[in-house]
Amino acid sequence: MKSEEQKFEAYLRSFRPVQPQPLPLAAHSFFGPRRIVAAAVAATLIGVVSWLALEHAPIHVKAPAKVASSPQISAATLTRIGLDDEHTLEVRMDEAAPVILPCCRGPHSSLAALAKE
Amino acid sequence: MSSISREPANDWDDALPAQPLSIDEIRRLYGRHSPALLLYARTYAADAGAADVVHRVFLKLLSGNYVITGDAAAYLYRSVRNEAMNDRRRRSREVPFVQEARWFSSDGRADGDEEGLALEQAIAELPDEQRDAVVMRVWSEMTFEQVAEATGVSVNTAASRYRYGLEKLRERLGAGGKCSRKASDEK
Repeated sequence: MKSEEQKFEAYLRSFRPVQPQPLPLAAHSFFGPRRIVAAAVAATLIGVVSWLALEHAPIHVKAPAKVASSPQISAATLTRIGLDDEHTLEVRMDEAAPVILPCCRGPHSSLAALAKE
Repeated sequence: MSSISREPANDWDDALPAQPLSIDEIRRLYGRHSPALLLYARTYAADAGAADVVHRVFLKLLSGNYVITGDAAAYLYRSVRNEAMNDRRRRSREVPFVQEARWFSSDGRADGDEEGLALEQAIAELPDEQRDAVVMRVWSEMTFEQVAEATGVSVNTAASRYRYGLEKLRERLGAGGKCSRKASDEK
């Protein structure tokens, strides 16, 4: 008798009830694991970008102070000298360099700015 | 009376923790019981409302505002029944009660829809209390204790309702033919 009942139960179970649609979980998981992970990733990215922006901000280098005017020699004059005599050009260049080129010893010089970096 | 409460309803419920279920636990319950719950809802609600009824019950659990006291499967069946009855009352004022959707999947069955339709008809003709016991026991594989808790009767009453229901189904399905043939096929 018990066996007959079990057989009939097995027969009934061979009919599978229709599956309902999946549970609409999206609307009820606003604070679900995926959203928490996404928020954490976004916060980390914002932090890293902010840190990089602050750390690598451009250094404001003041323009080198203008050298006091002294016997100046123009590029055109130097060109002409160079065409006439190379040796004379070297001599004139050595003389003019300390005057034409910016001072490399001052606090706002290019070398000082590079040394800071 | 609603079965949902924040406090244990009786001494029996005290044995179980009354706290909201996790999403994983709700998913597991849905995976295990939703087909049988949908079948159960279809015996009370119109086609259009049955799936909504099952979803509403689970969405309430997901909201975290409801806790299960006592057995989870028993709670689900009580809740689906309450929701289905409400749905049926609401719809009866709007449209006639219609049942057209199939209750059972014909996937993998050589006999197709014919036997499934006969079974639907036989289940629909059972008295409510017998049908409840059969659906819970056969398709949710609940114990008689769980069936008793879900229907608010003693274990003996739940068991006898089930056996009466099963016997009627056998008679109506002509179990001497189809069922015996299947049993002999299995051998």
